[in-house]
Amino acid sequence: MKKRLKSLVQADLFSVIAPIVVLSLALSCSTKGFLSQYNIYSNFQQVAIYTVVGLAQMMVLSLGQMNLAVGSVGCLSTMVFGMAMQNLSLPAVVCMVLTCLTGLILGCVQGLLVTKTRINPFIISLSLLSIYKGVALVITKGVPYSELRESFKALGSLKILSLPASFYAALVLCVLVFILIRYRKLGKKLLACGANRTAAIYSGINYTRVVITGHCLSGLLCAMAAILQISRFGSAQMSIGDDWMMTSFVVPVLGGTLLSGGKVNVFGVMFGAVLMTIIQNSIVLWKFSPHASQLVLGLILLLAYEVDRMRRNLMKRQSTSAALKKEADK
Amino acid sequence: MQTKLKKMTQSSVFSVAVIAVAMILVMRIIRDNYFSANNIIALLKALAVTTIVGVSQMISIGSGGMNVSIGSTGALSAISAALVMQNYNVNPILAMLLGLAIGISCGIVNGLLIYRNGGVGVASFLTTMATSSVFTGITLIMTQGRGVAKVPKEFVAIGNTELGPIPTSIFFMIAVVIIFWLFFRYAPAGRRILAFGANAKAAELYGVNRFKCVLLVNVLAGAVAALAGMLVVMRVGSAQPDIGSDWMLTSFAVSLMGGTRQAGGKVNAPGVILGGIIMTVIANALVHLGADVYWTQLINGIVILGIMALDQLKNIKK
Repeated sequence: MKKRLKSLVQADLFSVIAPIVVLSLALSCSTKGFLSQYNIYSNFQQVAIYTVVGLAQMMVLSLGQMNLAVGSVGCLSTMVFGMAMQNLSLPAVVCMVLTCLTGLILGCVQGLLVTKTRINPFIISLSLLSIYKGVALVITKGVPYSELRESFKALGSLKILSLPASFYAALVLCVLVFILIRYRKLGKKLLACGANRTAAIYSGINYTRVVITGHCLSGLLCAMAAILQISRFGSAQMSIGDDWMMTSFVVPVLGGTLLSGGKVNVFGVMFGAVLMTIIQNSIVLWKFSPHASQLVLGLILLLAYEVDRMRRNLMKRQSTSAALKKEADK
Repeated sequence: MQTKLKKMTQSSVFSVAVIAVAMILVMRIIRDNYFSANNIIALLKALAVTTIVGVSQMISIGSGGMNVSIGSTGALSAISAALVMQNYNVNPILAMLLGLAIGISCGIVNGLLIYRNGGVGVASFLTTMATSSVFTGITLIMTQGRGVAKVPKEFVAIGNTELGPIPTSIFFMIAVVIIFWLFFRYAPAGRRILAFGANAKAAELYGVNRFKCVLLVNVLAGAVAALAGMLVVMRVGSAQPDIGSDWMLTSFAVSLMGGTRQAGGKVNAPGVILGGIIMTVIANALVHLGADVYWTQLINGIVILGIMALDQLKNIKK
């Protein structure tokens, strides 16, 4: 019994599910609004966006790298969507495909720069953050696209079993990414490159190609998150993606992805997104100053690092104890 | 002599200097009034802040880390200094010292947390990203999102008095650059930081203390960032909570253009002024040429990527 409890506490997702449960119980007892249908609906919309943004960062984290440009890729894809729909009046599906393509290309550019030039990946990501945002600003002059098709807007407010459709979309994406990481060769390669670059190259993995693919997938997911965000707002705005950078790190780390690369937890990302959403919801419901949310976000991230370190130590201890056991068995 | 000259022309700082001079000349040709006293004063005032921000980042990069909380540290210090002056009529000099103390405290927080998260490399980025959000949050809560408008004239005068065409803020910049040039060149602590930045493991084997090193770097970077924040208040005449919101890219661009090695271990304090000149002239040129503000971000990004690529090309040639 005691052993079971211990293994439960040590389980990957315990550190994120436990606070979710505690916070939701506290919120539902102390406030009326938390369990209202509207609040649940809008929270799940937020969860969907955070999940996809988190997945985008997770893809690059699995390589042991970082993508600072998630928000800017989202922003520029948003602008492409707006232009395609409002100025060219293309059908919604074509617009979405174009947006995804944009994200893919932007991610590909980052991957190419990271692998083909010898510039520090951090500096590349930082300047692309500025360049992509700059391009979006120059093209649109900061004017939002709000004349979107009714059919697309209807998609944003579509409800299935009283949950938003975007949540199901995020869930499907999670499953797809899970299959990719768990059962496809590419996923294993991504993790191998993240865990130990030299070892991966020596075991015959085309490092360059894998890194570029990882960045492409990350860009694609950013564009998908942008589509979800547009459908939520009902207009393609410049501000989309502004606050994604911090979120994109918080969400996967809370969910059990190692910052140093080589280990990811796909469904953990979704739980991380739920925790983030509930914490932000609690700031509103408990009537804290709206200015506090930034402070809280930073504190959560610091806390997430603590959890990350605990996890790493645990992995180290487990591997040493397993090795010791093997020795003893011999 | 000849080899020395050759060495000089091959250094990346030299090409940055050439670009800077060329840009200024081109602007002079396009605009007749480019060298007017007003424009020079405006340029120098902007240059002082930009360079000091770059020095702050240079310290962190030199130690093998990075600091993305420079902007929020500057904002928090500047806002605190302005608030105590507005609400408690504190002497401007005391307020300035308080601002510096706040910057140092931010640095201590950063240093302790970075050390706890591993000390080198990405740990510094991830940690300062989180603390940056915390500092900004504190600034916003203190001000409720509003600026501090009643900044005493005496405080503004510290950095905004003009001696001929030279604003006093430039002297702060020169002092900071000289101090850190000497520090990294002659002070044992500075040498230790550079050794740590070049190769943390080797430095530790030689007896460099990781904890002291990380803490010192962040305290210095915090103090310099605080100075930059307060200079912005002196320049603008009021303290807005969004001070420093665009310093992240600027600080990296300025320090790296000035010859700081990306991976740490090599810094060039006087070079940072050159980087500062380039960024300031670009910003100023965009205004003169009547370009949309939207271009600023795009051009800043391209400039830093371009300069880094140039640097790499040279390395390959060698």
